[in-house]
Amino acid sequence: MNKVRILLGAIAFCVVLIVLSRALSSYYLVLATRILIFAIFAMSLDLMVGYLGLSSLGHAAFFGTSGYATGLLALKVSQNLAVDLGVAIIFTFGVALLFAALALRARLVYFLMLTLALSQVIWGIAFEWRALTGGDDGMPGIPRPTVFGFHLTDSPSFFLFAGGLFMISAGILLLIVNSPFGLTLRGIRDSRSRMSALGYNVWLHQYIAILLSSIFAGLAGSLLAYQNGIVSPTQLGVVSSAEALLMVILGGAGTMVGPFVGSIVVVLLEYLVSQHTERWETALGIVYILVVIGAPKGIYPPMKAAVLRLFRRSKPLTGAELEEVRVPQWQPAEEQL
Amino acid sequence: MSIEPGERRAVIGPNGAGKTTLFHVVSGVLPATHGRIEMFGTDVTHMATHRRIAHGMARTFQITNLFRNLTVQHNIVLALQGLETGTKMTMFRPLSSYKQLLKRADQLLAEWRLGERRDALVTELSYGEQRAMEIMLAVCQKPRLLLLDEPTAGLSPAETVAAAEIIRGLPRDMAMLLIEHDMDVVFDLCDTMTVLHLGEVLASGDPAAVRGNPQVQEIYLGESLEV
Repeated sequence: MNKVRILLGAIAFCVVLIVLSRALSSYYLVLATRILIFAIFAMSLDLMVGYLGLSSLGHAAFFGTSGYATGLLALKVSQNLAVDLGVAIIFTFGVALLFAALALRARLVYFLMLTLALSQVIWGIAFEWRALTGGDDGMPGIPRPTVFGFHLTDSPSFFLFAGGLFMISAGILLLIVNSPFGLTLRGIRDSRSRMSALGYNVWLHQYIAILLSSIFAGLAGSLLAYQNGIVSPTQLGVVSSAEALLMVILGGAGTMVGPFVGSIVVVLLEYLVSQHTERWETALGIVYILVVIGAPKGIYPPMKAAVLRLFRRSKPLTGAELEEVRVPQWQPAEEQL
Repeated sequence: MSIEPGERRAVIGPNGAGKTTLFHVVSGVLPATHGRIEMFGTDVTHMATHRRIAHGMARTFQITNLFRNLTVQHNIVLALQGLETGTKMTMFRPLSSYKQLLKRADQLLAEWRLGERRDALVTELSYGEQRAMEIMLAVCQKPRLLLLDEPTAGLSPAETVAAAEIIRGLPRDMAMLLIEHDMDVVFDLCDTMTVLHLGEVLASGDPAAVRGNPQVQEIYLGESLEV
């Protein structure tokens, strides 16, 4: 991963974004923006699921809390983007401080259930507190933000705004997972007992990772609130959490690129299914089962392996590439002492 | 039970005697229900595992416990950065920029003759090589006390000899507790021996003397031992 290739890749991605912003109609730009927003959400979840090995069905807690916070701030307090976004994310981070401390009291499937329960508590609060959140009617009328003088009311400019934030998020997350801290997380995923025996404070690393994850999930949640112009309890609900988890697994956990691919597939799938039926949740459930049974490693790792083999011929893969294309199953195995 | 710095003590006993449990309690994986554990003068009875490791303890596991989805090199890097707080908490610098750390890892791999397997996933190593890596990860951090849990389990006779060579070559000032079932290895490598039975110490001392103890012979060594 040398610097020149990273820079070229980033420039190429920018070009693609700009071209798309001109070429696609408003309707498809909304879809594309949704893909980018959910990609950030899914990548943040991948930090927990794919790199740390902690599956969560409660990630929408951060996604939705930030959405509501942004909505409330934008509607009632300030039109300043930095304030709305910043305070919302900080508030979400505060929620994560408590959420992570509680969830980490459990392990494996019990951790999963705790994350589900905790996010449902938050969902319940939003649902019931009609005076603050509008309950199940949601909170409509959220105005688009203004960035450097540009009022982002039209689809192309908001798309580029989301695209820029996507690139920054992806960049930071990729930096984190390729750092010594990132390696530590993968070590914890593979063997907590071994890590303890090597002097690592496992709980602390897990806690910090969940906090980091919540920041990006919060960012995505704020963006969705801005894009839709409305926040409703759905953004906090278990279906949102499940969609994100599916994007991670279907794309390929533990790769950061996989969840982006997963977001493209799931958002487009949702669009296609919605054309024919209202039963998106049923379709989601069926796809879930098919993916977990048929392609638990996701679609990105085998794709990348095939491409690498095509271009490398006889030369062996590097260690990092091997680790990536043979990513673990999304559910870590029971540990033995 | 007490052991001196640099002492190499074997812990033997029938299955269920409590040998691995002893290791779990000493390393902090299981809490002690009563009694004390002291390491080089510090009371570690209530310390978390990772803090005991920071005090100079290391251990291997009976069932090979490596990082299955990582390369051989990354396994060693994790062991090397385990006690380096500055490094392991760093999030915004790529691992590839830590040239010194990576060089140390490669040097260690070369010493243990695993240099060529640097970029392979650990699951691609032979069982014998994996058992060697178990020991390697533990000694990377230059511990003062090493707990070896059946290091030769599952190894062929040739691999057992090689493993014994490795263990014999470890620094002489490192205290060692060795759980083993292979008596040849025990008599070859250890200064003293402790026999556990039903969770209690049955006999302790010079291996030859313990071997001659009729109680020990009855519960464990039996007729399989060649005197």
